[in-house]
Amino acid sequence: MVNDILRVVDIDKSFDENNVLKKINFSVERGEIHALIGENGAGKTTLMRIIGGIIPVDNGELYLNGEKVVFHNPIQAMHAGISIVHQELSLSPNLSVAQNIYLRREITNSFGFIKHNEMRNEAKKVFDKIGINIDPDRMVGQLSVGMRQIVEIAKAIALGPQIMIMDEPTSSLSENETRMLFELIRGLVKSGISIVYISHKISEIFDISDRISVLRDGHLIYTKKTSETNSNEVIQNMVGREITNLYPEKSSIVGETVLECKNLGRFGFFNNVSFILKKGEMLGFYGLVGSGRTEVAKALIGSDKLTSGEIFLTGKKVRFKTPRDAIKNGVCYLTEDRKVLGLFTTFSICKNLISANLDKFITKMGFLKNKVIKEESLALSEQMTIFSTNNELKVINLSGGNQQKVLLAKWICPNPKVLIVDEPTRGVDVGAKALIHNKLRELTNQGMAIIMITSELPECIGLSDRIAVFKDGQITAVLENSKVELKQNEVIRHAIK
Amino acid sequence: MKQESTFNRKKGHGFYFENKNYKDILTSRVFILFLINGLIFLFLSIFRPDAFLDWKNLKAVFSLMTYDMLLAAGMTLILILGGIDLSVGSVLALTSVIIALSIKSKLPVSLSLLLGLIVAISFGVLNGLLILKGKIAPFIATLGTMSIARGIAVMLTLGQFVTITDANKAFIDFGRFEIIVAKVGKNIISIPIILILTLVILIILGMLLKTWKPLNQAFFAGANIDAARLSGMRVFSINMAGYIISALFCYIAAVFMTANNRMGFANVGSGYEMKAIAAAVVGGASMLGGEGSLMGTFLGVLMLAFIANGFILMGGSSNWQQASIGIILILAVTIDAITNKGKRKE
Repeated sequence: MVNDILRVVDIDKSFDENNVLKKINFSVERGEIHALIGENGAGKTTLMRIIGGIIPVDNGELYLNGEKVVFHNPIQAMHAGISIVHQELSLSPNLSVAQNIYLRREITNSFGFIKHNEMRNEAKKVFDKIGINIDPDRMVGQLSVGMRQIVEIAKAIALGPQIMIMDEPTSSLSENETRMLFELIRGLVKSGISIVYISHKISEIFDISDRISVLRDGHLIYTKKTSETNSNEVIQNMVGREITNLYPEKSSIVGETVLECKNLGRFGFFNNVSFILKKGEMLGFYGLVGSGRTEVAKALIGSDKLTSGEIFLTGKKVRFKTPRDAIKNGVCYLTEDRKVLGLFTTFSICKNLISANLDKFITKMGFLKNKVIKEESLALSEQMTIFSTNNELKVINLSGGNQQKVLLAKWICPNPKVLIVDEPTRGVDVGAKALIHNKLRELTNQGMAIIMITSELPECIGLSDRIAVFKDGQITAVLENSKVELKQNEVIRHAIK
Repeated sequence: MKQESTFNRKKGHGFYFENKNYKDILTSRVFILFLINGLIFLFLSIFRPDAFLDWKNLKAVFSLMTYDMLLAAGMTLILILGGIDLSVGSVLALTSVIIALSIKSKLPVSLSLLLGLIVAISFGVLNGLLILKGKIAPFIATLGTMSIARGIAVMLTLGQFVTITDANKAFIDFGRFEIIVAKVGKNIISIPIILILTLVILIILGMLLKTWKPLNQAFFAGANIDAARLSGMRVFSINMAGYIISALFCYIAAVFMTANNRMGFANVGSGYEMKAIAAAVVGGASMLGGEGSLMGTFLGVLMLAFIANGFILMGGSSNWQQASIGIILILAVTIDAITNKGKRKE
């Protein structure tokens, strides 16, 4: 027990009547990477916020280096050596990297003037320490998402922590960036820092962690050495039931061509993109982040301008000027950024569900049919098993998985011919993920044609009937995947050199 | 998880159609505003029963509210859209001046009113274009048009009153026409026609905003304009309509005011934008867009009017009115921020 740097004993926490954590016992050893895993709403974030001093506990004790500690605010926890790398990026895009790292604790002289040079040098030292070359003078807004995540970590390192808590650090990173991050984490551990690593991605956790703890419904189900367990066991404990077949079966009823794109181009983003999509088919768009997949989708539905190419929808030549045009013609796009571009987070579930298809719910004079709206939205949320007591709940209060279900249901509502889903399971727990996968397959079986953009290769291979691989704004290969599943490297090969 | 969710669904279903329980109603904005207005009414009735409850006084309070209500109604729509319109007071003044000048130069009333309408709508369109096509922040764009409208009004009149006492009788009589409702003792209870018309307009707009798709979309466009566009809504038209409707309400207020005052004056309506914003925000409109109701705004205007009247009746300096609006605005926003902080835990 001497080796435990952090020990959490019998912690309880409730919000109103909602018991979020129940008698949690959890410990972190010196220099280990301890993975914490659980479905959305299992209590991971709440536990970490308690450790980080952001919210108080109801019952229970916290021991740091064997001594009992009570944190009243995050600053105290920070001074005690606990720093949190947040899930939502919390950097200011209009400040430089150095300014962000020393935000609110700027290095100043005795008159309170900021010593920019010193801050720059200190920031440089941090980057040297972790062996990554980022110019401290760059504006954060100019950096890629991956680089921003690294700046976020550098910000935490600059505090000189004993324990770093990382809340889903890879949720928006490409595979390359993830690899880079993992090397960085291993380096940190060597220098004596302990890491609590929260993630949904099982494969990642087995890659990086020393021990794994599973949370479910506010209980800590078990803690085991990573080498002594396997992913099936973890998943089983996480969802409390056995998930036998991870992905639904491939499509059996691929029909005639619904959508044909010829030489689509958008100057500076992609060119010569041609593909066909058939009825009842799931076409995967695989590629690294920034390979042009989202850009193609957005230009296709008329959100961005196409500079060249032709689109044929069920044989007729079309060109959508606005997303409205596309929706009217039965082509819908589910965005990868559910909070910013997808949902009306301050609105109720019900309003979100009907938002893409208001015309279906109005009288001839344009008045909303409230009764029909309620019935229909209830049916939709029932279909998606959206976990909530009623449909008037604001979407902002839902977990990530449920928000994603709302987003998918919103686009099922207009019943499109072609549905383009962009990262449909990003930041979503295993249970919701399986449900979304099954739902997508159910839709193709009913005759919908789906394009799925995903950066998760197992998902892409597990679900798609065919895979179009993107690289640098072009399709490098279209691979058949329905009869025999492709190997991962057969796909990756086309996505990188 | 699956079982749990269907269980909860059933539980929720029973409450579905009256999903607001008593706790929600008691803490709702409209209810609290009702309460506050009631308390102020009670307070003034107890301390100044003779002066406050005199119908002449109440009528004056309500009549003065007419213009505020119209501007605040337009402002509510703009705030729901996530914008702001500082030009309302100036557009009101300019429109009024244009109408008065036209009438004075012997143009028929109908033509004068049409001219005023064209000017008001032009400013709405100009605001919309600057903000939507020019991508200028609403605050700055309407700050500019506010100055422009006021400047033109002053220039046209050289700062003088433009009286139209000799104008078409029907028009100026309309401005002060009152419908007698009842006689209570010596008191003749009569209601100005412009007040009645304003309330009718407000009720219609309020209902349309809630139930009519073209207007209801304002909530979506205001809450998240990108999501609204990707959901197939015509966000340009929706926003444009908002600024035009706001200008239209300035126009209606200008017509009423010109007819009632029987003159146009370039300096009327200054500070009205401030009152309109305060009333709408007190009534629950969010500066972030996507929220607001006309019922709330109406109660906000009523509250500001009662407080202003109270200041005078309680012997306070009327100079405090302006400051009180500011204090109420800040209080409302602060209370809102605190209660919302409690609600958004995760």
